[in-house]
Amino acid sequence: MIIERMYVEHEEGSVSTDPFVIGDEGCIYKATQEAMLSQAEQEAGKGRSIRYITPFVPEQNMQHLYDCIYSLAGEKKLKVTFNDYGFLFRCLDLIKDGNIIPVLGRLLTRSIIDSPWSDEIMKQEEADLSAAVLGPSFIHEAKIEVLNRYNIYELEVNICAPSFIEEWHRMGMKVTGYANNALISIGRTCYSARWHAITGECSGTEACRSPISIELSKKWSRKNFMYQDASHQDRQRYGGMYILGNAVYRQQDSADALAGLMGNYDYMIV
Amino acid sequence: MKIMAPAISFDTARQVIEAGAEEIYLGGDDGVFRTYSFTGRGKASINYPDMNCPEDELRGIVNYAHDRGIKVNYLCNTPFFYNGAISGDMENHYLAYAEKGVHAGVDALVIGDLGLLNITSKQGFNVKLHASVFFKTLNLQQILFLEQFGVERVVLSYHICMEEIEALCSRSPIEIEVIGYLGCSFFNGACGFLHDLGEGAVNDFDPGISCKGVYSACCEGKQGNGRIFDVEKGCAICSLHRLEQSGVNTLKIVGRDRDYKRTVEVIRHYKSALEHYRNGEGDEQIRAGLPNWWTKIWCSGNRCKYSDHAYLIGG
Repeated sequence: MIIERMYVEHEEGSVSTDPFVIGDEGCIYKATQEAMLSQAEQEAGKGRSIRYITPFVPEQNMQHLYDCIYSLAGEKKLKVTFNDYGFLFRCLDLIKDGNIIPVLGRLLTRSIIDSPWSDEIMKQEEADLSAAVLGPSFIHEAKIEVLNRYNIYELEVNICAPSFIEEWHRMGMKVTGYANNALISIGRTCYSARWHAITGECSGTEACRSPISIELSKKWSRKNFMYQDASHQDRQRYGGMYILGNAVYRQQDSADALAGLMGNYDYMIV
Repeated sequence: MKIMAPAISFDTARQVIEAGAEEIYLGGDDGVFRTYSFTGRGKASINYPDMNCPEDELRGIVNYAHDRGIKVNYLCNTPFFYNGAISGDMENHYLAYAEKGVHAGVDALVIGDLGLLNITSKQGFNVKLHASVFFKTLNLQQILFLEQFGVERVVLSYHICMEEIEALCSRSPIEIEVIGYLGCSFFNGACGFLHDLGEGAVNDFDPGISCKGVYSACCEGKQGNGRIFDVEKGCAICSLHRLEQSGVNTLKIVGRDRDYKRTVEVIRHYKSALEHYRNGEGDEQIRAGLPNWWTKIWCSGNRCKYSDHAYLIGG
């Protein structure tokens, strides 16, 4: 397993030689932040390999993000994580020329098992049907066939059962996990900016960098069509969740993932 | 621009068509699951114990709709599809389900999963393929990516603004559909806060609608309490004119699970508003005709689709 370290601001002077991870899976502003790109160029110059995580891409941001990738790709092969099929399609020339190594990101590898309560929902089915449904979406030959057309042989996923990692390996795919968090949900609204009531243009360096921890107080009951005080069980389902910008994550203890106890991941992002 | 409405039975199909829907969408009975389904929703809702049509009813709806020039779109819309070693015949179950719709004479299959889109496109079905809202389409390049699979219509993401819709419509080689009524706070197909997948139909499980929940939140000493995720924009009535002018093909009224008396009312208001716009009338006249419950839910809360860029990333 290869450990890859997320970019941290003011990392100048770092002596790490681990592969360097930049970008953001949810936010185009964070993913194209100038200081981060500048730092990445310097690190690439020192010989560190780079993984550039790109988010969903609104139409008007497409060219700018492509330019950022293009300028970093250069002579050193850049690994690019795609979370938008449109941007993947846009970068086909860079993939075919061998300038970038494409990876599929967590926004696109989303699965029913990423929900904290999918197993509860599926308890209503027969056990064999439930087991047949409760697995990662990208353990599916028909999807892998599409990815291989784009030279994609690596997936980023939330930490999941070791048996799934083995299935992916049998399908010829490498698997990257995230040691510190699980992506639970994501939108296009910056919930951090909204909560802090920040207005004006965003530079990707704002309050979205500090996690907002959340605890459910009242749930909107689908069954009773009203607000109800959250029970202990209700609150437990949201345990460890926090907001960063437009995404909701659940914290995880990285130790087991890093020790390889959670499965035979090829790469682990910390 | 056509208005597309949900249906869950012959009777509701008849109601929404009589109210003015020019296309309808519905799900069929897969014969596999008890409460889950291939449609993207569970089989049951709080209002209805079974929202998917058995084969003979499906055929009846298609015939009724076609006699009136109404197209029927069939939901094969599950956004998550796992086909691992223990999945057995799940792919064949899906294809058998899709075939039921094709044999019933539906006009299109609505698909939300990349792998299912890939295999469906190879079946040679004589129906159109629509890429659903679960693909979260925000840019032209994704429309072109999906077109490669024979997709003839793309449903744009909920989370898009009018200028983006106009830009995409002007350049898209295939039809564009947008959501006209109701919404989600998170990206459909990327949201782990699952709901309306049939939970509670048999057991008591009720996780609630997470994006409507009240949370206490804390960040670096600052604390707050509120509906931190609730950014649903549900009404597009004031945008209808621009949507039609931009070239949007179809406007979808969401809510197979909703009370159909309300759905019929919604369709009538949208139809009426569109006619008023076509006759040159303005927003104020249209809003004046809306019922109190509508203005209370949507207008008072500024929950207007496609016109509010506040906190929108890349908007």
